Amino acid sequence: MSEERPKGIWWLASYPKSGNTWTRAFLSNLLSEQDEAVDINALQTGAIASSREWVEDAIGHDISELSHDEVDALRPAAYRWLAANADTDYHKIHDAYSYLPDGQALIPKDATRGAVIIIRNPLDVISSYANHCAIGIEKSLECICSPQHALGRSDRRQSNQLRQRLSTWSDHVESWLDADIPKCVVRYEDLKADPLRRFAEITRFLEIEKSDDEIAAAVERSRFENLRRQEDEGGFVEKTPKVKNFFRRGRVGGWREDLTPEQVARVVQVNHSGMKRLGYPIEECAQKPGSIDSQPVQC
Amino acid sequence: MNYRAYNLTLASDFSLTPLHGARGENGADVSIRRGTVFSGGLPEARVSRAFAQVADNRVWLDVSNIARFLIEDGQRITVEPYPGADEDSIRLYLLGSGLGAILHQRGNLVLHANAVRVGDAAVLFAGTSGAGKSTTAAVFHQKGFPVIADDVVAVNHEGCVIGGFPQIKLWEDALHHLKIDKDGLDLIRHQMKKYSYPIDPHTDDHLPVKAVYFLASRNEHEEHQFEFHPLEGIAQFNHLKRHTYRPNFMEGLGLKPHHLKVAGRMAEDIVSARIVRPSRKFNAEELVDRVLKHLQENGISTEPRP
Repeated sequence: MSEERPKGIWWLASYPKSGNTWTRAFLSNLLSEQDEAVDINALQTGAIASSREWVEDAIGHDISELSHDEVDALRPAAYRWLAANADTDYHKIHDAYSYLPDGQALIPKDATRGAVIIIRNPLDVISSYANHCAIGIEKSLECICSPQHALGRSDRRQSNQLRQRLSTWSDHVESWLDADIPKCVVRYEDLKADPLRRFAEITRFLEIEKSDDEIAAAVERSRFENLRRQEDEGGFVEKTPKVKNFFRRGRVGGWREDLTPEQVARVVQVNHSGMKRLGYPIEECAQKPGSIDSQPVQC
Repeated sequence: MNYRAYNLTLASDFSLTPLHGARGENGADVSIRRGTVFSGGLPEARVSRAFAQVADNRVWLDVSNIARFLIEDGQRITVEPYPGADEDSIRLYLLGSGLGAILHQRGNLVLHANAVRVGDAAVLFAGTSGAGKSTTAAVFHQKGFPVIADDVVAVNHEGCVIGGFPQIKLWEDALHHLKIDKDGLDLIRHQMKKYSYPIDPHTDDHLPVKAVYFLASRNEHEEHQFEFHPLEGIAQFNHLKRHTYRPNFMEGLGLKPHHLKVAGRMAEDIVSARIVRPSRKFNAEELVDRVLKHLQENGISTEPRP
């Protein structure tokens, strides 16, 4: 049976704090055989693409004493091996869709079945990211507007995550939009507005055969309020210290209260291209806060 | 030149500093030679990864831009360096994956861990890269407890740890945290801000394992939050299995049943716990104090040996 399975990894790609965990919770509930909500601390999707342990096992020799650039050069081969051998099909990724100095893609097309690309208005990402990293709004804004922004980039210590180059929010989302791979683009705002419809689209894209009732049940079990309740009761391993909740507000348009007009203008200036492409009404964002809704992006 | 490590004499074409030299040229247990290593891997491989293949008694590694290695029968390592590869990088892989494979092939239980001498016993700290093993070992060293192996720990069929290399590899952040001056220390390779911190050699030590701690981290934890979860039975065994050094070597070499036996025997006599520490700020001194207390509570003497 495994021989008949099409090869390749399904990627769940997003900038941090854009709805990736929500999507993973939905998929875990959708694929779960149990008759209750899946524990948020035991989500059934696979390792994150930047998991040092996952990538090192695929490479087969130590990588702990290789530089970030040296490890990156090995990652395409690791993902090819994983595409052929990995146990789980769905893997979160925060890296931008980037290319190595030799021209090959970090995430090779031939290791990829497709990518669900989850995108959230950068103005809302800023306060969520600030909360997640326990940094101020201004620092979070700097990250989202920096072409050098990367996670796990320190060369003075080792983390269980590999370096993940993110770049600016706009560069990040456009890198995935332009990737030559099958993709399903979903905006967080559209997921919030009509979760049943959008998650059904994701389910179809991922070639998962489930009934409308099963999809509806998974949507219900992964509703923000339910994820938040689980976190309040039992904590969440992905939460960082000094932060009260991982699942904080899940709101659309919170930026109107969180950001100053100058901050909004700066974000829009740097991320203009991606925001325009994703249908975020940039002029209105900057001048007339209150109108963030636009035409949903189709898969 | 001959060197000593893990109670073995290594005859090597490559400099293996920081290992100490051994007298005489004859009677080496392991020969490390420059030679040709085929590029296509092992046709008979039982376990394959993207850059490693393992068959009965043979491990083949292709480390891009550094070297290809063939490690055979627990006795021979053939190295074909890539053009332009530096000696430090080749040596790191020889002393890491190369000797790790040799130790597997010689029937040891090889763990991704550090070993510290406490009283007349060995206490092990296992964990994935970045878990804090070496930093913890360095704090023990500063408190007067000898460190007998760093990163790769070999446990023989009697359940004893064999002394490894006379160094602890420490990242720049760890040196800063431990207030160790990096001036005068060698970089392990020039591409990395990781240093070789020399320690006294314990290459011929055989110490019974009395405790194994598995280091893990959790994002949620505050700076001083450490959890000790005692491990017994199958849970302890599964942790040992998970922290085997390069499980693909063990599996490909057909050593699973043997390791099962050694790990099972070892598990009968040891104290074991999973320690969950905070991911970010990590107070290694506090962790070591907690471990010493935990050892005492479990009847293990923690008097440092003079």
